[in-house]
Amino acid sequence: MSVFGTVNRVYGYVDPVLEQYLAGGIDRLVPDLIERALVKWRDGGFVRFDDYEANCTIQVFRWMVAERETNPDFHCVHPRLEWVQPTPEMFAAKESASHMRRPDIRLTIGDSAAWTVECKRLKLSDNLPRLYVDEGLERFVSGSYGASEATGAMIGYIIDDSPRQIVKAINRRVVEHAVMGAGHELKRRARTKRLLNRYVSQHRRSSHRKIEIEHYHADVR
Amino acid sequence: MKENDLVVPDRQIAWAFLSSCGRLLGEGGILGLLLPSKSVLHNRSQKARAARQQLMGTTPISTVIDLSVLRSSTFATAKAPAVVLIAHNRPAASGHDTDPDLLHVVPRNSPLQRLLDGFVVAQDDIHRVPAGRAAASSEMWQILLWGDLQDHSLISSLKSKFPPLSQIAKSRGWLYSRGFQVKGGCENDAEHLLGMRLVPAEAIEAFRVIDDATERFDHAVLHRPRSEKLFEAPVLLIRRGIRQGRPVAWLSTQDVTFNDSVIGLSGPQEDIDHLRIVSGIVHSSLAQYFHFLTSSSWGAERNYIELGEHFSLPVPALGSDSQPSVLEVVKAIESFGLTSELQDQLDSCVFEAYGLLPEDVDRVTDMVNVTIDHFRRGENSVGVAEPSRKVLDEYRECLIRGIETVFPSTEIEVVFALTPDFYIVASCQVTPPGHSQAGSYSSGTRTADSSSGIGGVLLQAVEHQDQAWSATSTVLQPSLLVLEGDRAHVVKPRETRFWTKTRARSDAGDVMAALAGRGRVSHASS
Repeated sequence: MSVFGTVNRVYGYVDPVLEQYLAGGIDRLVPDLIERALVKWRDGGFVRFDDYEANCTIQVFRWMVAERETNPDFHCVHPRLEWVQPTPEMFAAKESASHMRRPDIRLTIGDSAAWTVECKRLKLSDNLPRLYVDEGLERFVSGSYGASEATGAMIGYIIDDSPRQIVKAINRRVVEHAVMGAGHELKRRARTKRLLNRYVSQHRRSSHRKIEIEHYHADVR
Repeated sequence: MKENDLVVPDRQIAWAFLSSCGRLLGEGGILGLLLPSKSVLHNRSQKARAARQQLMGTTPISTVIDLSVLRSSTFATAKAPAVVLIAHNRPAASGHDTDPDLLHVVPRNSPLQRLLDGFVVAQDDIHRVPAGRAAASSEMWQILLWGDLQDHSLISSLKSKFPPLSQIAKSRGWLYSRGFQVKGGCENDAEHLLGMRLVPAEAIEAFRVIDDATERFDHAVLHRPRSEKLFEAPVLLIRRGIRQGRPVAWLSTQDVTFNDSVIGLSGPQEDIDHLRIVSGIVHSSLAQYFHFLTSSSWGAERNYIELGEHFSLPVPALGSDSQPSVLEVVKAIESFGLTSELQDQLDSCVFEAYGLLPEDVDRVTDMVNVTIDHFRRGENSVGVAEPSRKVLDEYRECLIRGIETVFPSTEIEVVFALTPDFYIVASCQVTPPGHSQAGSYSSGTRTADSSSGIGGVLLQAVEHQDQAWSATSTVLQPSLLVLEGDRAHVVKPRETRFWTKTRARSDAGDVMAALAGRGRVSHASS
């Protein structure tokens, strides 16, 4: 990083009462937007070009954009799709994005607060639960994703097998993983009316910073 | 190069050299390169895009300093604008993200820059760009030259929702191309055009042609005569060059000829109203915004928009419900001439046809009124003039509304203070429900009293920046967010471009995130 990167924009301290109040509101916005987008997608029948990960992620992104545009609560949250420029045909699930690099979603508030959303396909075969951990969750825990962020999110697209079997397989891999282990497993979130397959996992990184990951498993079978 | 399957656009040896540099950089090594910005950042050919992606993938670029805005002053005798690329091959175990942000830096012209005769970089003009987006987007660098990541998101969103004009033209069987080309070596028969009216590019203005002269086409042969159909009415003539800061076009209802400084779009007679709608969109502030931020030339080097760029403009399906109003306004303009009222009406109708949110409308309007003006008029622009009371009031209203939308129960107060040395401070006090204002609850180490606190906090922040800032030829114009208990002080240069409604919305997000302890905060005074 050059000299430009050494210059910060934000300085000072915040009253803890105010910080706690605002943090509660801000931290609800991002999970709420993700969940509402997934519910809109589900209510429309999980329409997608095919089960390819990018084609599912583009639909989630599409519904995030739609939710943000119709709900002023989310106007300050900016969803961005990395690596891919979707076309209207991709939004309409009439064209595949399979020729593009697999996209991730990034949600930002202002210029400096950002949440990375990692998306993965899920079924018991093809080693997908293991890949969910090794090439998804592990990147948050190691700091490859969002090294300065305290929260992150993963979306799993269940294309086969039951959500319960899949989360068990994921947790088996979490427990045996070298940088995670017992205590890092996905735990079911209290049931929400909108989407049932929500989990949370908490991790301490090697940098001793904590990170909490919200998991959303969309049963697109 | 062949062994490594490397792409070299335009057979430029500079690209070949550049492609190899990253591979030669040792661990911990830093590399600085001064290059032409157009070929490195802004060109759109497939090869140029591939070469750019390849460069991002093989060279650990950490900073891009685009000098395009200062093209006439940095290297006065050079024709091409320049860019500085800095690459840093960090040691693998340095603990950085594997996909780090790049820094994109744009020094600009301003009264301060003229006074100092050096580089002036505003902190708002230092962008952190995720490497993934930088590699994927062919337009990222052009957008960031005058806009920010939210502009990139808006443009990306338009492209996701609406097909490009080229697709609509193709689906309707319209023909589009640049006009005939006289010179080039070939001698092709052009007798079919003889005697037709010739419209010079410079005669085309917004919705009209100023030259009523009866100049006739008189070349028997041409290098590229183009298809006869291109010149058949109805044909929309789009001037390739920019006229008074905007693209302009004229719909001809008679057959006409034009040279390659004009782009023609010709369709059947029954589509004439659709061509009118396209004409309305071309003249809208939204098209002005889109082209200014995405054209590889306009804003970076020369004042024109290429054919492919014009036809990359996303356009709502013709015949949709919201477009009759665009058509009505265009017909009114054709009858009565273009007035500022009709331009406003046209913009409103186009914004509606695209379904823009109010914040997007403000973003487009600010770009047209402030940023494009800054591009055109430099240090004489309204963009670098001191903001008026009205501008600051609108900023305050947008800042408050941006926070209230998310936290409707909070009390928010914003007051301005003018500081010496070219800055304005907007102090934003946020009071949660159940608490009274003016520091009635403890801030832990001190009370939230701006009169006693702001001076000290600002001083520490500036000192902190001075320690970090060691460049001698470059001045950093701070754009700070100083937190003090229940207040966030937004400190920015006393120039209108930093106090627009668009900036207010972005600052509202920053204020909320910073007060909530999210994002990057330096605890300079804790």
